[in-house]
Amino acid sequence: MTHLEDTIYKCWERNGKAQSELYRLFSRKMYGVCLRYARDSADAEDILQEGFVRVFTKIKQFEFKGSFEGWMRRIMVNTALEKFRKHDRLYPVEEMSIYESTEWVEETISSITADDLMKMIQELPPRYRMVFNLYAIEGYSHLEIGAMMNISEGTSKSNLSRARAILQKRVTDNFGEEKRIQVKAI
Amino acid sequence: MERHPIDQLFKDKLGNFEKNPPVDLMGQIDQQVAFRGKVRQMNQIKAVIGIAAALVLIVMAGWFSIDQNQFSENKIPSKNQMELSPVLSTPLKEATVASVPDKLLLADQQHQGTATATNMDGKSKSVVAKRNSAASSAKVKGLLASVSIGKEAEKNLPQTIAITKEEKKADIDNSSKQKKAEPVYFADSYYPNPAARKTERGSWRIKAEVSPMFAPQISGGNSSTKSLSTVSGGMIASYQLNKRISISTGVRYSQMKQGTHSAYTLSAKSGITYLEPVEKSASISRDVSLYLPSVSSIVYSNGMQAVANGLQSAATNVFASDISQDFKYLEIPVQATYKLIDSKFSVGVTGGVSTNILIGNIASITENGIKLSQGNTDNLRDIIYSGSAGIEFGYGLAKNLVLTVEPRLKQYMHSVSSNEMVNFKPLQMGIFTGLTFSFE
Repeated sequence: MTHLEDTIYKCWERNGKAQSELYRLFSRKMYGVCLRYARDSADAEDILQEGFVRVFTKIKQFEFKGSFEGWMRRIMVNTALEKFRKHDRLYPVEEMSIYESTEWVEETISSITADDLMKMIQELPPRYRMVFNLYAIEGYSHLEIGAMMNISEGTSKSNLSRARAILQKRVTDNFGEEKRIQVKAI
Repeated sequence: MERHPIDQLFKDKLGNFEKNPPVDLMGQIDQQVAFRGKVRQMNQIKAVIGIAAALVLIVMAGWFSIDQNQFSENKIPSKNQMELSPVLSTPLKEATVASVPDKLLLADQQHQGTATATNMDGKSKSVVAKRNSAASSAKVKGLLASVSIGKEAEKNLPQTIAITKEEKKADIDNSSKQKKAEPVYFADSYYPNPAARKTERGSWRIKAEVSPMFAPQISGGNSSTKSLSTVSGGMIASYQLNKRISISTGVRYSQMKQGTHSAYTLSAKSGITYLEPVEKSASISRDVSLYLPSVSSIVYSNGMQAVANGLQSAATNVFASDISQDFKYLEIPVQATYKLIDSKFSVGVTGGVSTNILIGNIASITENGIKLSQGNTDNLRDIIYSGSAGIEFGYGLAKNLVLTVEPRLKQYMHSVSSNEMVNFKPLQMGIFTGLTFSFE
């Protein structure tokens, strides 16, 4: 039995030390996930807290099929989605034109930090942020995103397109130097 | 497929992004986990208290009934008693006999060696009292001495104990006069409580009732389906055919709710719109799928069978989740009640059949407590029939008002699904609590 499995089994019995250990092992990664779905760090902390409470109270539902990290990640994502459904469903969506796709030079890309991108993603309208995260980073299909967010497949595609356009404009505005190349959109 | 550069940029930089959360967050998580544990415990305690309260109510109803019966037995002499011992038919004489000290009665029993405590009726008590008054028994004398009652004290004994022949004769005379003056009560026709014997032939009654409904757990394949407790209730009108039999009908809301834990959900690609409930083999006792038109998802209670069934290629994602199915029915029962005991506390057996009309059908997928999507279960019958049987306990609160508690079993006569491969006939149990109003 691995250290992680042992810790999980101890968490079944509500062992405080095991819960702290699990938190120590995964809190950094999960906080990173939560930050992407949140509008700011306070929002991310709320998601992380609620997510870990669910992990600890529902840990017996993990049946050791697949990775535990993936299971936790899904809980965090679902918690963020639920928070979105409760609070951000009617958030006004920014009307904007579609920007043409671009590709940046290597120097530009390397100069952009994760914190810079995190700030950009957090500033997206909530629904765009959700769709972009689920599609671009988590790898869900538009059909799945539609089911998860109770929107149509077409709406999901449209939201993704607008999210990309906003992010592209902000990257361009903030990091200037670029090489304009037309890219076929997926 | 080429990734969009924006997607690629963000995935590369943020896909494995890590950051330390605030140091005090774990403490808050601990508090939340502890708080939710307490809330869950409180809910369990509330449920236990609710059940205990219902049991106490039933026990109290029974106790009051028994108490009432004892009251009737003590105060109302039977016809035989009145005929055999007219002296004792007056309440006054009962009281005087009852006031004889137990020790005296016991002493006399020992002396006589014949009387027993169990058959010590009023008549023998009066004889005992008479003998005590004459102080003919040495044991009784000794006992009287031990309680400092000598000859003098004996004289001071209450006159009720020292019944003389003259008094007895006077009592008989008084009793005869009372017999003439008052109507004779027979045990079978005397009902001190107005709530009793109100179920006369031809009377109408209306009843409001409500109950929690329970059903057994069903397991199949790798998943288990747990029937969740629901609520049923409605209004029932009944007509008294004769002293013991009544028939009733009305309208009742009923519900079936079940959750399947660790079901496998397949999110389908477009093109697949539904899959019917299936029951494939003996190894899977029940395998119900859901049709979710809003999201075009297919849900199996045993996902591995779904994969084996060749649908894996159609699925883009497979994940474990919980399924909740909720069916609501409008029930129109026709039932009969036969009363076994018909007094202030009544007991009767009930049975009948019901027509159940489907009025609600909701199914949802939940993962880790978060509802992902909602739709409905496919192929449910619009109308199904059920049979029910129960034992009704009633307690008369007032002349026209009876509180009833009825444990009842309800068995659906055929499968809730029209799919021939699914044979699911739920059994439900409820404890119906109701108030019955009689129109007299």
